[in-house]
Amino acid sequence: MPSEPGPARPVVFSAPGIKRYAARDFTPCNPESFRPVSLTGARCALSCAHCEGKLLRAMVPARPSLLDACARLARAGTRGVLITGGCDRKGRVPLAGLGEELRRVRDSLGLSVAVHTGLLDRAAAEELAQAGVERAMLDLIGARETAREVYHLEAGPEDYEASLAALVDSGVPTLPHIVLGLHYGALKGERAALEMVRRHRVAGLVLVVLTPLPGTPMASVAPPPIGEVEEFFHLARRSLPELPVWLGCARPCGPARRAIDRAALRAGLDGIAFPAEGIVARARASGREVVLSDACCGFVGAPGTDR
Amino acid sequence: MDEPLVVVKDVQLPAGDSYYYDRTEHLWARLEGEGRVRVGLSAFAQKAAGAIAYVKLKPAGKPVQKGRAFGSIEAGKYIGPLKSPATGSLEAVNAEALENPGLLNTDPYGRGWLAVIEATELSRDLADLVHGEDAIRRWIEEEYNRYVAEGLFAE
Repeated sequence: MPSEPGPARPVVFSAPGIKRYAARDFTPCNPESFRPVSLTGARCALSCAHCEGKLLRAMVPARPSLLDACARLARAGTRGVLITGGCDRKGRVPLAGLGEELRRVRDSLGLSVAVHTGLLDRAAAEELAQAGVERAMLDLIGARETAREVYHLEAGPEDYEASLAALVDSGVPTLPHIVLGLHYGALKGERAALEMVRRHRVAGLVLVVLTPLPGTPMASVAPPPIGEVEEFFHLARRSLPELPVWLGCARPCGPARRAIDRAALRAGLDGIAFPAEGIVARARASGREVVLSDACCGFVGAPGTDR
Repeated sequence: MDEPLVVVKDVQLPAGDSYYYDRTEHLWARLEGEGRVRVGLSAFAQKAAGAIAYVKLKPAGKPVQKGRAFGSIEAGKYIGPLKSPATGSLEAVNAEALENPGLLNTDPYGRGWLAVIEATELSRDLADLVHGEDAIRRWIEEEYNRYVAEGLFAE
């Protein structure tokens, strides 16, 4: 087993308001700091095998309008929002035409704005750039079979790379996500997705691990083995030595989560969202500088979010 | 006679004389005689937490303190401790709920119970819990409205 890296790089632990969270050594100051807003409520045309829209149910619906929902959140103390939602049949989150509203969320309400885009073309990416969207997040699929069999979508890696390029070329700071084990627990297109990331000037990379959800076709799927997850963490770190690489919100629960978090520390990842109990102390004991943040990992370092 | 039940929208809370509620943690505590208190997550708590995927509890026999963790849960919208509503020791923990955490969502007052506490300072511990049908209704209506206003009850 590789040893944990030296103290050179700080590690950021974040707990945005996507979940309420408390641990012995890290309780966020503002549990409502960063909230996800769904443009489609709980609806998603794809009904992907790992989610079937269940993740959307935990989000704030954009009702009666996106601006109204964000205004309510701003009054309750929220400082940033992730605008997301279910996809249409072409794998797109319905952001098109919302540029002006997104700008008002940022400028009038003073909220930081991140978006989950799904697939998108250059015109849509440019609209997000003109709206002043501060971060775009895109799940990269590196295998056509995974898009077809999990997302029920006829799209290939080239479509995801074109979307990534559109965002980056439009000047939207972009944080691609790679879901390890998305293909029913097996690693399939993850290396190809990592290669895509290497070819574009992204703001960072977020790795997450398949979390089988009750009531979905993947409920009984085993997440990828910890050895494969750790190997991929090390590969990502070696491939992208200068780029911030974070372990994001989604990963299995309980002992598996602790094992994944320890692997992330050993691999020298730059941040962990919602760290398992004891992981902050472990990082400190290893000599790494620790930063605690209420922000979504893409916004770490923004004023007032770190301590 | 049926036990009184407080119903606020999609949340139901038993309000019989044996039921008490922690007003911040949203745990129920049911008196079972001779200082024994059975504890679980209320329907309100499990709605706020989302699908519960993992439960960890201290083993039976361990001491617990009011306001301190006797376990933890990981759920779709919550990761954090379960704080005891009473001081004493854990007489029993629910192995079935550890094995199948979804029971906390589907049967929060029945098979989804968490622990039985042998309470040592029961009257003191009960003093700040919510009790009685009217008090439970007022409290849960306020909490429900607050959670909606803060966007914590999305759908």
